[in-house]
Amino acid sequence: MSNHRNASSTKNAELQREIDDIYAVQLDHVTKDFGGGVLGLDDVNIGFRTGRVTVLLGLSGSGKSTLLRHINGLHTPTSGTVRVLGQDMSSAGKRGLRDLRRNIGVIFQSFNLVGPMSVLENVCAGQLGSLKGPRISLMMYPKSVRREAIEKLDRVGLADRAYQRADTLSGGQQQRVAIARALMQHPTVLLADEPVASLDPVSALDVINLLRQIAAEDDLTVIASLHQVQLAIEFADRIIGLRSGQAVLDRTTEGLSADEASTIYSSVSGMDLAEAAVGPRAEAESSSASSDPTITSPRVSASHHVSALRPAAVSGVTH
Amino acid sequence: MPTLVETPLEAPTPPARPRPTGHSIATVIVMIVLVIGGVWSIGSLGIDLGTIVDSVDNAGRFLARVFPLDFPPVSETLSLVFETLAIVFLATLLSVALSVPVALAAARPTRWGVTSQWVARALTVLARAIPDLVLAIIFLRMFGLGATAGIIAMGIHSVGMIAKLYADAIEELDDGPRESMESLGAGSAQQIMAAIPQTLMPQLVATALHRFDINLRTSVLLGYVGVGGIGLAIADSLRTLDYQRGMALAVLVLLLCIGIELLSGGIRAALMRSAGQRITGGTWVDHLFNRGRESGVNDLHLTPPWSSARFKRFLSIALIVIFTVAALWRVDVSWSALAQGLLDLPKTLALFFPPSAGGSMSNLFEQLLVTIQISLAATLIGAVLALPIGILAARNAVANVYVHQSFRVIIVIVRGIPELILAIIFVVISGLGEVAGTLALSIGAIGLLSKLIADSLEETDTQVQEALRATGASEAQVFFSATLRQAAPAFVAHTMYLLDNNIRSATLLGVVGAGGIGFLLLNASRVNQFDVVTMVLILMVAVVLAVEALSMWLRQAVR
Repeated sequence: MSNHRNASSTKNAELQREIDDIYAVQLDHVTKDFGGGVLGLDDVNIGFRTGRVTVLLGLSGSGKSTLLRHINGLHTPTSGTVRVLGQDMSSAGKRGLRDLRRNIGVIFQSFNLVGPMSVLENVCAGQLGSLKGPRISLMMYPKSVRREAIEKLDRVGLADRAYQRADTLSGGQQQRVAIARALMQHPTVLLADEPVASLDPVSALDVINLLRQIAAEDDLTVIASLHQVQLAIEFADRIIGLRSGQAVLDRTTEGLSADEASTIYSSVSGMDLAEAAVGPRAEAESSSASSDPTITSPRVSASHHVSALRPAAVSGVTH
Repeated sequence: MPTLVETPLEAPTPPARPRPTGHSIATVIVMIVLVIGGVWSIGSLGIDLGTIVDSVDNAGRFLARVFPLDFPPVSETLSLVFETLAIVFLATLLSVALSVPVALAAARPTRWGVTSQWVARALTVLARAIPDLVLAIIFLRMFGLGATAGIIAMGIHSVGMIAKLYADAIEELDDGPRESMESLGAGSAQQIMAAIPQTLMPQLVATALHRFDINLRTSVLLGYVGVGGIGLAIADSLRTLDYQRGMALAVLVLLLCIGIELLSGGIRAALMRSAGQRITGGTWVDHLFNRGRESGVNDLHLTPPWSSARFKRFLSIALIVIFTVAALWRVDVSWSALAQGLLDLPKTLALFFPPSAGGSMSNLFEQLLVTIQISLAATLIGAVLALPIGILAARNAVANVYVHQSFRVIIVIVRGIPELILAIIFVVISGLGEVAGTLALSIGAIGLLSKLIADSLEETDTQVQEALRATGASEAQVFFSATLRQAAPAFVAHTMYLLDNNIRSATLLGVVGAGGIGFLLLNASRVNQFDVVTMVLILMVAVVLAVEALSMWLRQAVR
């Protein structure tokens, strides 16, 4: 991709347009240095195809949130480029960035609703990017916006809670309100940063099903980070594993067998889940003695499972 | 004295006790020096048993002069109360209005630049350091006698506290909702207005109400320099030696302060309760206003129903608007004088510079020393008396319910009496001078400190006490070894906080004739020696900041 980026000829520009049509989000050699030798992202190259659901898997600190925050411009890369919807984020400018963000819905782990505000006003706030000036009460939103907000709430099944304080809802309900708020933006891209990590298993499944359904109905490009492999396989068209800021796994979920699925977590975490849980202590200790630089946890065994899925490029992770 | 502490301990039995660190030695020295300073101040101010006996004697004559209290006619009383409340209300409203932008600029998540953040923080510190009394003197010069100067003076000084608390509240807020607004393309003003006001509202109102209480007390003081209201009436009565009227008005202030404090405390408690409340629905308000209304997607109103929460909100806003209009009408702000005063600002400021000692710098230092002595003596007397009272009021120190509850009631009453009123009474009893100021401050100190002591005793870890009791220790042993020992650092910290407070109050009480540099300040402003006012201000701010720094250091050190 990058070869075409700087080209000035019309042919290359045309090619870029075609690429933009295929990929809603493109990360090209993106590196994020937080300073002090901490790399949030380490030379990441990924294209997210328009209309597909992708799940990012990885341990806490593996770079999932950092990657998502680059896509809506809450982080800027130290080097490399991020293109979203055919626009280079770094050249968007302040106004351009806001325009771009309007097309990107974000779902947060902690819902991030304004607690004392009514549910309906929270949903209406999703339109702020298209409205001029601040709003300090529900009545300051145009009637058409309020009407639409009720409809979005109905879509997530919470229209009868419209005038309740948002912080009186359960976690699962709050996340559905947050989804309704994102829908108010009429987004083409939906980012979800661990959307179900704060929820009980039943509410989590509810929210994932809702996201799946909305993604299909509205033809959204969804990029979500999750911790649960099983949910990820059910939800996603494609799974990307991150470790220490690098993409260490990338495959579609089509035809994924249960056996293969069970190895996914080991590959993204660098540890064999089965062995870590029940494996003999002696083996764990002996493996911690062997100094494999890719291993961060002392109880980890560098297993043969991993090498099958891990791209050869991933070797020396420095600390 | 220092050598006593630094003598190394020669305990032969191992393990040797660790040598005290330089830091802890310094802490002990400072505390000892402060206690000696307090004792010396008490002696040097001439406060001894003789004075107190004299005062008791004087009190008899005082009562004869004061009774019967001569309350003004009801209409005049109401008018005075209304004027005072109007001034305090407008001052508090003004300070809230000024504090919101300052706090937004000073708080990390909402600042619009690092430079403006530092400017905003500096403004807050400055507003807090300059007493409202000095601001009032400046503004009285600019805008003429009357309420305007007082409103602006208290409005600006209060920014020091309100903006600080608002900025802290914003910084403690979860940044998630604001960030979610940013991520959906909202501009910075939209982010702030959507995410912050509703979340912070209970805290914003509670802080404003708290400040209202404080400003009500200050307004009496400002009356002495020419701002209207009850304070002015008291000052006029005492100047003409009409003690019956003056004390009647003082009683009025006392009742007003207690009444307002109870009211604002009630509102604050209700606000904090309702902040986390679930919506129950189905109250009489719902039945009255929302009968037959559909819910869900078929609700075509698209307006919030008149729930009791919305009803209360609407009522509160309406009341604030009505109060503002009524207060503005009562104090009759002269807008032309305001504009003229602002135009003349450079000329007015020129009067205050350069600072001058007004002839005798040594006199200034002498009076400054008296102010420091008053606060040291009052803090020591307060601490000595507050300790037993605080212990007797603590639930876990005194088993008898009636004892600790009646001491709690006594503390509440003592705390309700403004120090200023006490100072006025003592000035009348024992004459102008520092004894009156010290006694007034001491009583105020007892009120504040005994409450803090009782609270910190009740907050001690009960498991430690249980453990000692389990070994068969008597109640007294448990109290001295466990309870008191645990509360000791808090006691030192509270006493230092008290000293810090007393330095400020001692200066201001001088204005009513209670001695010290405050009296010089009032005289200088009366004879238009504004350059002396500036010099006094500089000395005051320097001492206040020094004591504040010392008190902060010591509070850190004993923690």
